Amino acid sequence: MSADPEALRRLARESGRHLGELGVRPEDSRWIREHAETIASLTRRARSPGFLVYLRRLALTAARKAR
Amino acid sequence: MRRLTEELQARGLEADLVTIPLIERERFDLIRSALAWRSLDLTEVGNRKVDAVIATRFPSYAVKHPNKVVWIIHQYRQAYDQFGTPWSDFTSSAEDRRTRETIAAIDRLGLSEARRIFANSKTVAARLARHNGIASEPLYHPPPLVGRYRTGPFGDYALTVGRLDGWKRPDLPLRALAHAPEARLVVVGRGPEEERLKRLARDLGVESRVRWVSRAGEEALLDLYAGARIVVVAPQGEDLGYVPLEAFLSGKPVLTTDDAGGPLEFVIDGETGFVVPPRPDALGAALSRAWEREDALAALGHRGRERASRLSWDETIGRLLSAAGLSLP
Repeated sequence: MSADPEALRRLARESGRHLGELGVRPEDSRWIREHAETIASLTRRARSPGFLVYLRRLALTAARKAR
Repeated sequence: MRRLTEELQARGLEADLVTIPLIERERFDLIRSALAWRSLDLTEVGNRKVDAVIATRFPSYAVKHPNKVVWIIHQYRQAYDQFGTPWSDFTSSAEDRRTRETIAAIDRLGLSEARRIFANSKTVAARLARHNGIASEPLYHPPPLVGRYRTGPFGDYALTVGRLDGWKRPDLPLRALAHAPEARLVVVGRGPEEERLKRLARDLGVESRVRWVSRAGEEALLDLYAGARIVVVAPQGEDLGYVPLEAFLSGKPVLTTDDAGGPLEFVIDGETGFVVPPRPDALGAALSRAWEREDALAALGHRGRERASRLSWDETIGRLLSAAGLSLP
C-alpha cells in the first residue's frame, strides 16, 4: 500500500499554505525541502528525486500564496 | 492544563485536553509542531460541533477554530526575553534569526485570531505587550493542590521548591544560608544542577543545614509547606510561579527578590513577605529576620493566605467561558 498521489499533492498544497501563514518564506528553502521530504515519506516514491521536487514546488507555491 | 479540563468537566461541561508534544531537536521541529497544530481544525470532532477552544501554550494557539480564546501560560521565551542570556540557545546565525522571526509570526497569527487573550499573570501580559505589541488581560488561577494546603506551626527550616535549573537560580538560597548562621534550608526538586548545588553547599560550609528532597509526593509537599518557617522564591523573571501561592495557602510568608517577575504580583514587602535585591547577603539578612521574629511571620503569612484564597477556579472558568460567549450548563 502506498499513499494516494493526489492526497499527497493536496497535503503538500494545504500544509504549504499553513507554513506560509505561520511565517515561513519561500527563501526558507531547507525547511520547505524537509517538509516535502516528510510528505514524501508517506509513499514508496519517497526516494524519487522528481517526486520530491514536485512536492517541494507545490508546498513552496502554496506558502508563497499564503503570505 | 489537565486541571483546567477537570474543573470544566466538574462543572458539567464536556471538555477534552488536546496535546501535541513540542519537539525541539532542531529548529524546524518548532515550526513542524506549529504546523501540526495549524493542520488541526477543531471546529468539529466526530461529527459534533466544538463550541470553543482554549489554547494556552506555544504553539497550540496556531490551531484553527472560529471561537478561539487564548490564555497564555507559556510563550517560547528563548526567542524573546531570554534571547542573549544563558537560558536561550538561539544564536545570531541566519537560521536562528529566521526561527525567532517565525516564532513571532506564529504568535502573531495565533493570537490575532483569538476572540480574547488572557495571560496567566501581569508579568506575562507585560512581556506580550513589550515583545509582540499584543494586549492581554491577566487571569490568575489557583495552584495545583488548591483545597488541600494546610497551615501548621512555624518550623525550623526555610523551604525552596522548584526545578534545579540554572535560570531558577537555585544557588541563591544556598548562598544566603552562609549569611544566616541560624537558618536551615529544605530544597525540594531535582534537575541538571543538583550535583553542582550539593558541591556548592559543601564549599560554602552550609551542607549540614541543608536537606535535599529530590522527589516529594503531594502529601509530603503539603507537609513541608505546612511546617516551613518561610518559603524562599529565587528565580528571575518568573511568569507567575505557583510556589508563592502554595506558601500563602499554607500560611507562610515568602522571601523573594525584586527581579522575580510574577511572584511580585503577590509578595509585597512587609505585607505578605520580604522582597530584597538578588544578593546572598540580602536574602541572608531576611532569613535571619525570619528566625528572630517568629511573631511577625504569622501576620505576613495570614495576609498572604487571605490574598491567595481569593483565587478560585470558579472565577477563572467564568471569565474564560464568558470570553468564549459560553456559560455554565
